[in-house]
Amino acid sequence: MALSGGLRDRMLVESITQKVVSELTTVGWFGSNRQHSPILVETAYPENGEEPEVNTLVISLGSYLGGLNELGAKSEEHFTSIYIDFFGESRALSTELMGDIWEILKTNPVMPVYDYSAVGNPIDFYVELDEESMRLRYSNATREYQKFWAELFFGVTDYRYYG
Amino acid sequence: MAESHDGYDAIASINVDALRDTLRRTMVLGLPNEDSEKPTFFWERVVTWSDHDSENNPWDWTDAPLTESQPSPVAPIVAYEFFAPIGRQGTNVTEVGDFNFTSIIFTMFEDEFASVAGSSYATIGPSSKKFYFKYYRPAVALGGMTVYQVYYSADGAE
Repeated sequence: MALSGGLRDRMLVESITQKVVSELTTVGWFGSNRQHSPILVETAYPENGEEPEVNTLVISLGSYLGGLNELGAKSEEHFTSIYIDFFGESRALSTELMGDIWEILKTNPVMPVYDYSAVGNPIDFYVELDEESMRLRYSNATREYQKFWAELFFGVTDYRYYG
Repeated sequence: MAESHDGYDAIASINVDALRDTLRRTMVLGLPNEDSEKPTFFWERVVTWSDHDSENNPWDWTDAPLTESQPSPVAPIVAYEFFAPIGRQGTNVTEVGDFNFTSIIFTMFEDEFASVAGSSYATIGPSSKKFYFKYYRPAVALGGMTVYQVYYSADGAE
């Protein structure tokens, strides 16, 4: 049965997370011979007052917006935002890692979303990625872990049917 | 209060070694029993590379470093005052507002100060939360000994 509702959103974030991690692994970011602190992947933004470990990469769901495709239709373009934040140990590391993630997104404009709750993790639907933007938030740093903070935002278009 | 300056002796003198010893023993009285809970000071790893950018970061993150150093953590004899956001003194003024971070002021003598000078952060108590070095308070002399106070603060309200 096709994914729907909040579970659909969760599978979407999970699929994007796994794709990004898989591609970064292929490039070698999680190797044991790296001369930087390990990259740690999280899917929840740090709580206020909580200090994440250095080199924490957070992939999280942002807000979303729906819109009707045509009058009377029950299908719509569902726009979801994804944030990828990296609290790096240096400017060079933040720049290079986020640049690699940017490249991953640009070379995968149509991404499959898997149903990880089903046997074999079959592909359930596809989404389109666009409207990417990357912001280096160094100048807004008020805490030590934000000194080399980079934030990547992109939109996800998911065509949904509400039958 | 120095012992002498510009040819003038201080109006009073004290047995510096005995006083320092007594105060150190008082500081020890205030330290936690567990070694892991005592104030411990850490340094960041300092690395140089043969092939690097203008900020000394390597072009290839798998390259072996040219030199690498990281002093071992130390847990010297210190006294400390802990400040939490509620009811604390002082703020960190930033462009986006004033922030009251949890902070600790460490008080120590000359030898201990020499052992922690340049440290990046400290830990204390049962938590592994990092308190980052922020600044040195003006040194205060007491006869022939100097008392140093160093301010460290955490990143957050906890």
